Amino acid sequence: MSEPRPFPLPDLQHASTAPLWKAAARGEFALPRCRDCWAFDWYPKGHCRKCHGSNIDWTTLSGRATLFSWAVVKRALHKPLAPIAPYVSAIVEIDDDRLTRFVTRLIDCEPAELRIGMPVEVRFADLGYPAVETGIMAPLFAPSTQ
Amino acid sequence: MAFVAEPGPAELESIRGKVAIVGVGESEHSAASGRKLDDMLFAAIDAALADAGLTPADVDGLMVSGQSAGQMTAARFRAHYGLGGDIWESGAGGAFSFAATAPHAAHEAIASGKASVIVNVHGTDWASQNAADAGGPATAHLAEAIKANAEVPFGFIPQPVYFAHVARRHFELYGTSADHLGAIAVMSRRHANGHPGAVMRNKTLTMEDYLAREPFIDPLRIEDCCLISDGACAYVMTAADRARDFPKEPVIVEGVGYAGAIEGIHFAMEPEFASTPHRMSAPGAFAMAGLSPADVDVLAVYDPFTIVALMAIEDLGFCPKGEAGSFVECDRLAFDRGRAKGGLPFNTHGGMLSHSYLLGINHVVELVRQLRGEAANQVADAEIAVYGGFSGVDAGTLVMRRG
Repeated sequence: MSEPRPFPLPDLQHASTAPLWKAAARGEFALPRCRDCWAFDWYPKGHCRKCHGSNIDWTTLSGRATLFSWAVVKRALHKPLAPIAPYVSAIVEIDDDRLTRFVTRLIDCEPAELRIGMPVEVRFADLGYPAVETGIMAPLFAPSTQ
Repeated sequence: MAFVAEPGPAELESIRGKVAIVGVGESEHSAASGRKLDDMLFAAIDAALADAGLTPADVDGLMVSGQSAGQMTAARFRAHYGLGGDIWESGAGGAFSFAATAPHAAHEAIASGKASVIVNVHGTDWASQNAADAGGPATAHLAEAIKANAEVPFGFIPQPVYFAHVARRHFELYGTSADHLGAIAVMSRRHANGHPGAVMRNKTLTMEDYLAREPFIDPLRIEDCCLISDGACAYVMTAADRARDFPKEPVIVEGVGYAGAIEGIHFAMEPEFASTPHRMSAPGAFAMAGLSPADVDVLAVYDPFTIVALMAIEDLGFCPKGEAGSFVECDRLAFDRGRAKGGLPFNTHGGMLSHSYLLGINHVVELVRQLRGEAANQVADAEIAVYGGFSGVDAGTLVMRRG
């Protein structure tokens, strides 16, 4: 038997993604965006995909999004994720720019009621919610209540 | 031409009719076996050389997948067979998309006099690695910084999770259903049941069995996912004008295409999410060959998941985008329902779903045997074969003709 491995945590210092986690700790959902043309830089390339400028800044967003696709992971093949299974992995399109997708996890939802295109909204919770306490706040999503 | 996954289709010089495949070979394929990768690689090379009527001393070129660990090197090849002399060596071969594009890179070496008899070989011991919890297909994905910090913590890992999202999207956009994925799984198994070298040769799978399984990464069932295997395959290439000097009927490379995904390893961000780079790779290969999908007698596609095979069939041009679900109904993919009967014989060895997880090089080996008329599930009058290679970040298309 191998030792149980810890839940996979982000490197909070990694330059490309640290602001995402810092914002989440403040209860904000932020992504990098070009200050000149407003195009999003996610995943970060460090330059604007649209105008090729380098004037990129992290911007706080509404947290509203649309469900792009999802999968109900009943059995986690990556063993460190086993404690949170079953869980709903999801990709959402953020409403601030529907061309920008965000990988997340859906919580507080009934899988049978999920539909592509349904409105979802950010829900800040511990990354390991509800089974594991990691101490890291994460931008998880849930079906919109409005 | 370096085959690196730049976004979009690569411009490739025509090599139509220039390269022949004159030998194929493989090791035994199995689940976790503890066999050493090197032993399996040499078993495949030995078999391919015997098939081509060659000895190791005849080989002056070696192609492998440069990004895969533990593959053959010229130094180990020479040491194993006690050879001196130079061997041209390239990392632009092996499996995945490169099992399709290796003949293109081989042609450059042949035309420039660097090599004349080139072995392309690939093996994997991922079954044994997985059993030892020591690696496997997710390794590269876990190591990529953005994925490690913005996907894995949310549970978006490994590949079955990605492709469950793709399948869901394909279902919702095009009306594809579990029965359609099941048609791929069941036909692959039926073909493996008729193939003595297939890992799943003795395990049957009916549509009832398939549908009775609960999805484990919904909407995917375990039968939608490829095997993880130990094994190796090899094929031998030479100039087409020498091909008649070899004992077996040669197979001639007619077309090669290659294309990179737009967002590389970041599958979640791919603009055409419910599609594959085959759509960008196939047109060039068919144009080079002067052929169209309607001319193809037997197809093999890289099939890590049933949904990938389904998308490959439409993205390669065998049916309109989004219609592969209904296309694969009614046993259209069976080896014994050939082109004349409106069929498209597909993965006649069972593919990675049911033959072996040899990452597509086993598909090329199978197609060569089909074109020679020596396959286990022989397609009648097979003259044109296509391999659709894939790695997630790219696709390679190989069009071959019976020589």
